[in-house]
Order: sequence, then structure tokens, then C-alpha cells
Amino acid sequence: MKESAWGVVLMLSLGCAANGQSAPDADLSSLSLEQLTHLEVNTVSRREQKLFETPAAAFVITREEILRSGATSVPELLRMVPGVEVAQIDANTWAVSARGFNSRFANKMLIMIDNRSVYNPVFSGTLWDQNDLPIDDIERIEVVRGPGGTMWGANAVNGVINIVTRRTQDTQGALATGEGARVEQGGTVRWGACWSQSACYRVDTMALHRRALLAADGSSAQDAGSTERVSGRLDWNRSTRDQFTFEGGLFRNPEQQRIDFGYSLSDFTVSPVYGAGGFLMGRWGHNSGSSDTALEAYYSDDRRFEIGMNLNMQIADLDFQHHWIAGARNDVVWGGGYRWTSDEAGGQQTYFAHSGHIVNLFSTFAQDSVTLVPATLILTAGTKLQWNSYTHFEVQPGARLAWTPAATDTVWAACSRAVRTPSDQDRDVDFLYLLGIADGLPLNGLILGNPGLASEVVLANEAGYRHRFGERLSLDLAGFVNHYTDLEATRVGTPYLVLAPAPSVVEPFFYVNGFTAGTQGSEAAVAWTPARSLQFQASYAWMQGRLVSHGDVSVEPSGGQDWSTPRNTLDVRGFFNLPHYWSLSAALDANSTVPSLLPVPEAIIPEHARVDLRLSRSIGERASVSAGVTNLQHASHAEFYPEDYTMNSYIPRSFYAGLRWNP
Amino acid sequence: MESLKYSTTIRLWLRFALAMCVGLALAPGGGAQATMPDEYHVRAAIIVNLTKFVVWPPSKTADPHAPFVVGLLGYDEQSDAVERAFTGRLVDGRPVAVRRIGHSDRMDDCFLVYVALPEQKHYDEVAPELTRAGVLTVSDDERFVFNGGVVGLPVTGDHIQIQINLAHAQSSGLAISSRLLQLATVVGR
Repeated sequence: MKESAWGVVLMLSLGCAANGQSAPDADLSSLSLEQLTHLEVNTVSRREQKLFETPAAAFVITREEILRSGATSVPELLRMVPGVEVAQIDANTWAVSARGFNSRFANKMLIMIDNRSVYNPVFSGTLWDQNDLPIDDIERIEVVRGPGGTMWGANAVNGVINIVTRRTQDTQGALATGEGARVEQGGTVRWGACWSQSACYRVDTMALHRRALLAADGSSAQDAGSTERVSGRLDWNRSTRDQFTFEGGLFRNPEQQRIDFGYSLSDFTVSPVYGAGGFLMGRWGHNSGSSDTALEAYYSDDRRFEIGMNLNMQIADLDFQHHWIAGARNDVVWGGGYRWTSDEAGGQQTYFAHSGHIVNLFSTFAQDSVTLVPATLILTAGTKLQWNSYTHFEVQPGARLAWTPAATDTVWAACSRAVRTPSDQDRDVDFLYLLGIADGLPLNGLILGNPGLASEVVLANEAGYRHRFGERLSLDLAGFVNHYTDLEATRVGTPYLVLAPAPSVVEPFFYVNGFTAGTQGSEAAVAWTPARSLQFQASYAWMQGRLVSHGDVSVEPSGGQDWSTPRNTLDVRGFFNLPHYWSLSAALDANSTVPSLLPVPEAIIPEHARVDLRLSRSIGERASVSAGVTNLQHASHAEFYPEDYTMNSYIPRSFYAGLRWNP
Repeated sequence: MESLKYSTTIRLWLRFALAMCVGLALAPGGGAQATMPDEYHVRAAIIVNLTKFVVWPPSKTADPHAPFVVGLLGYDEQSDAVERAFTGRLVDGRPVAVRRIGHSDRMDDCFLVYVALPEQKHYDEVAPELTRAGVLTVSDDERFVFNGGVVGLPVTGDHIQIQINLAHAQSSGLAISSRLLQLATVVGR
């Protein structure tokens, strides 16, 4: 029944439309050598080959895949990446992690936008709602599963995600997009232009309103929220050797969420969340033949009001990098940087023992790719050395070997050490909250940070194999065996009686380095293009983690302590370029049970699958319309359990329609 | 119950798809977006252009009727583009003959040899012969000019960069015009 119904949908979509597509072949031979060397070239196929030979579990979401997905946020796009677990918690929060330890505060994943870290050093983890950006501005998303500490430093323990935005040369003219769905409505307006052949800019505005999702009983989860954003970028190619980029943005996020600190999940309250902030960034790239350098600086100022606490955070960062082809056999990258983080907490609720923190971070790294056998065997080895105000020196070395016996095969293996450094939250939290009533007295929980916490450490062993079966089919396999030590855990202290100001019982919780873990997994991705107009990609991951406690400690569903990752995840996508400028995309995303140590039935998130469909058509050269459905087959489903104080929501089936117009 | 809900969804979706088809099939269609030129085509055009700025040794040019032989060592997408770019051209009044070769084939009559990706690893074996024969060797690899090659055309940023190893050019008996050297990154000076 199901199959035949799908068949009808497909046939109908295929039957109602004819196609025409050809790339114009410019006559380049009439150009001079000067003009040819100044021409910007499309390097997609080269990048694909480099990616194919990369000695890491790397995956790139291309612009084409971004546009055809219909996604309106980065976490939704990341569902297609093999081995990356994406779970929406409520309307405005997502848990995203590779290789386990998934959480709203997934603290072992480093997320960057144009190399600017958006990892929150106060709480650890990434607040995805504060980092919404117009999907149309993204050129590609580079995802590396496994440690990236050798290049990127602390907190790149389980993976690195770098969102690369488009250059302004590619976003000229006006663009307006709008989308309406059951779960959200939003739109973007963009204007881009060039002052001269070498200097271009763009300005973006974006507004997205996320409507409330559902509670377990089908009522509203009262978690509606908005993102409003203005951003801009300027690229100036002073010459073919010197390129400057400036970026800046301002955002605002008024939201709501259901929070619950108590033992009973029905005692939640609806609480406002407000985020606002901005950033400025500049980058200077210089290349001089066999070497190139990059100097990058950014400053950000973020405010966040949540659970009654007001946090102001400023970050200033300066980075330098030098890449140098040192003869026939060596390719060297080295660099250094400094980051200053300052935060101040206020509001009606005391959250930290100290109201302000300043953290200095000095970094330096060097990496050499040595060609052992020309074009066949390359060894990349390097290390990062960092000094931070909290744990002082941290060393993160790594070695990777890539063997490319033929252009169609790559075998790679890697061994690396990476660390997650403690955040202000881990070291300095001092937060009292009502847990319930015990023996007629209020029972308060008290979470206490630990200034003596050491960094969490992973020793990661990875290997992978890629193979291309001709032009149309490719396979990417990766596996890992990780060993973690000094993982953060919670020690429950002895409850004690407090008499003033009013009698109550206090149950203290301390953070300690109390766990080790052994995790294993494998990830597979297949890309198949049976015809120009027909593309499929599938990814599957299997992974498991075993956590071993040392002493009297427990893992809490809090701050990324728990494993919280399904054993099996599957994502299958198809894209069909239909006649008459139609296209159809379909995605299936499935997970097995999300394991949780939280002892309540609401915490059990059974296996779930979602199907998303999207049909679009271009009208003339300048406009396209699309319509689709997300979560087709279920009235609603939950993807993550209640964690920390955040209640989880159920995601309903949602139909949408959208318009894209560049006049 | 579940299947009932399911078929309702399907029916809704069908009706929706049908409405979309009818509505939009009538609207005018759109064309392809203007795209940046492909790296391979630009590089091939540069290789054709390079030949105007190189003077081959007299041993090579003694026979005025000999064709300008372009050797394509190995196969990749770039070598296809080079073949297409040279087809039907004249270089210095000579008709171009493009020839696919393997690393054990004869290549001393070539004026220019493009070394494709799969053959770059065997380049050590053929480099001395090509140098002796006064061949302009070209590759897209950024290490090529350090590995015995004369011209490297790697991509840096979004541009194709011209790298020239002057020492390798001189030992091959090739004279490179100063105009080309101004445009290029020169190593082995």
C-alpha cells in the first residue's frame, strides 16, 4: 500500500513536466595570459579530489545540497552527515554531536563560522539559536568527525564543523526568500554589489519565527522563539596576492522554554530566554608563490538571559597562520593565536561563585605533511600547544597517514590526542534550586563547580577507506576506537540542614573528573549518481560507548556527561531533476533508541524515523517556488530527552511553501 | 488506525502535488545560472597561451615542417581539456599533434608534455629524458616545479597560479620570455 502510494506521487511528479540544462562554454582562448591568471575558477572537482584523499573522516555539504534540502537552519542540514547525530530538543535548541556524548551542551564538538569559533566557553557547547544565519549565504559546511585538536585546539574532541559563507563576488544583486510552515515562518532579504572589479559587499537581513512545538500530551510546548539578524560582508581582492575580508553581524533572539529543575517533570515553568549580540571580523590572506599567510581577528559581544541569569560575554581573538610548500616533500602549516574571553553574570539568580571571569588562551601549532612516496603515501604530523588560564599547558598532537595507491582509492589511519578544557560553568557554578519537598522541608539542590577540574582527554584511533567505482558511485568508510579519561561526572554529597534564612535541606552536587570511557563505531557513506538528473546519498553509522566510573560518582543527564547517542543512525536522500524545471528531493532520517540514564519514562526516546519531501520549480531565471512536508509519517515525535533543565518537545508533521526571488 | 492516518496524509499530499503540477506546469521555465569557468578549461587555455612565451632549443626546431607535438602523459580530466584546447591549432606556424602517452613511451619528439595526476608519481622516471629532449613540462600539481618540472599551474585561492622553475627550464634548453616570468612565481633562479 505504502509503496504503491509513493509510486503514484513519483509518477505524478515526473509525468507533469521536460527539461533543458547546458553550461555555456566560454571562449577562453581569446583571453590573454594576464586575464587568465586573474580569472576566478571553479575548483569544486579539485576540492572533491582533495576531500577524497583527506586522511580524516571528512564530509562536505555542498551549496547544491544545502539549497535542495530546503532546511532553514544548520542543525537540520547536518542530519545528512554520516556519523553526526542531530536531535531537536525544543523549537530553538538542538543537540548535535559526532561520535557520541550528544547534548544540548555537546561540549566535545567545535563549531566555527568562517573559522570563527562559536563554541561557548562559559557553558561549553554551541547555542545554535544564537548562530542562525541565512541558509542562502552558506557556500559549504565542512565536517570532520574525530579530533581536530592538532589544528583547531581545545574542545575539538569529537569533531569540527566549519560553516563557510559565500564570497560577496558570488552574491551580487537582490535576493528575497520567504517560507511559511506549520513550525516556522521566515524570510531573508539580501543586497549585494561591487564597487569595483575587486571589491564587493553584501548586506543581509533575516527574520525567522519558530512556532511552539508540542508537549507530550499534544498541547503547546510554549517554546516559540525568534531570530532577527542583520549581517554584512565585504571582500576586497587588492591583488591576486592580497585578499581582505570583513564580516559583521547583529542578532536578537527572544524565546521561551519550559524549564524544570525538580524531580517531577510535570512541575515545569515557562521561562523567557533572550539572546542578543554581535561580532566583527577581519581577515587578510596573502600568498607569495610557494607560501601563503593568513591573519585573522574577531571580536564578539554576546548577551544571554536564561533561567533568571544574565550573562555578558566578550571575546577578542587574533590568529596567524603560515602555509609553506617546503620543497618537493614537505608541506608545512604553522601558526599562533591569542584569545581573550571576559564574562560577567548578573540577574536575580546567583549562578556563579564569582560574578566575572577572564580567561586568556595562547595557542601555537605546527604541522608537516611529508610525502613519503610521491603522490601515493603522505604522513601528516603535528601538534598544538596551548596555555589557558584554567588548566595551563595542553598538548594535542596527532599523526595521520594517507595511502592513495590509485586515484580511485584512499586508505587512511590516524592517531591523535585532544582535550576539552573546563568551562566557567564547570569550575565556578554555585547554583541553588528547588528540587522538591523532603520531610516537610524544602529540598534544594546545590550544583558546585570545581576549580581543580582537569581537562577531559581523548586518545583517538581512526581509520578509513574511500573508493570510487567509476564516475557515478563512491563509498566512504571510517571507523574509530576512542579512549577517554578524566571525563566530567557528578558526585552527590551528603544532604545537610540549613536553618537561615528559612529551614531547608540542601543536597550538594560536585563536578569531578570521575569517568573513563571506551567508545567504538563505524560510519559509512555512499553517493550514487545514476544519471545527471538523479542523485542519491546514504549514510549509516553504528557506535557504542561504555562508561566506567571511578569511585562514588554518577553521570547526570547534564552538560554532555552522558553518552546519549543512538547505536544506529541512517540517512538516505534522493534528488531528482525533473523535466520542466521541476525538482524533487526526499530524505529519510532514522535513529535507534536514544539511551539515557535519566530514570523516568519521559526520558526514553524510542527509535524514530522522519521523512521529508520537497518539490520545487524554477520560474524564469530569477525565481523558484518550493513546497514540501517535514516529518511526513508521524503526527509528532520527540528526538531527545529532557536534559539539564530543558524540557523536550514533540516535533509535529509540518507542511511548508517557500519562494525565492532574485530580481 | 495508523495506516488510516497514513493514507489520509498520502491523499492530502497527492492532492497538493497535483495542484502544484497543474499550477506550475503553466508557468514559464527558467534557465541555468551563469557559472564561473571551470578550472580545467582555464588551465588548458593558459597552457595553450604559454607556448607563445617559450623558445625551444634549436635541436627541436631544426625541422620547420615537424608538427608541434603535445604529449599527454596519463589520463585525468585536465588532460581531456588540454586535448580539446589544442585541437586544430597552430603553434609558431606548426600544426599541433596531440598524443596520449604512457611513461614507457617515446616522448623525445614532444614540444610540451602535460603530466596528469596518475603519472605524477612516476615522474622521476621520465624527468631526465624530458630534460634532455628540451620538452616544456607542465602539471597542475603545486609540487611539480620542485620535482623536476618546468611549469606548475596549481590553484591558489580561486586563481590559477603560474609557477616556473627557471633552473629546470635552463637545463632543458628552454628560453622563457620575461613577460611570462613577470606573471609567474619563479623558483630555482
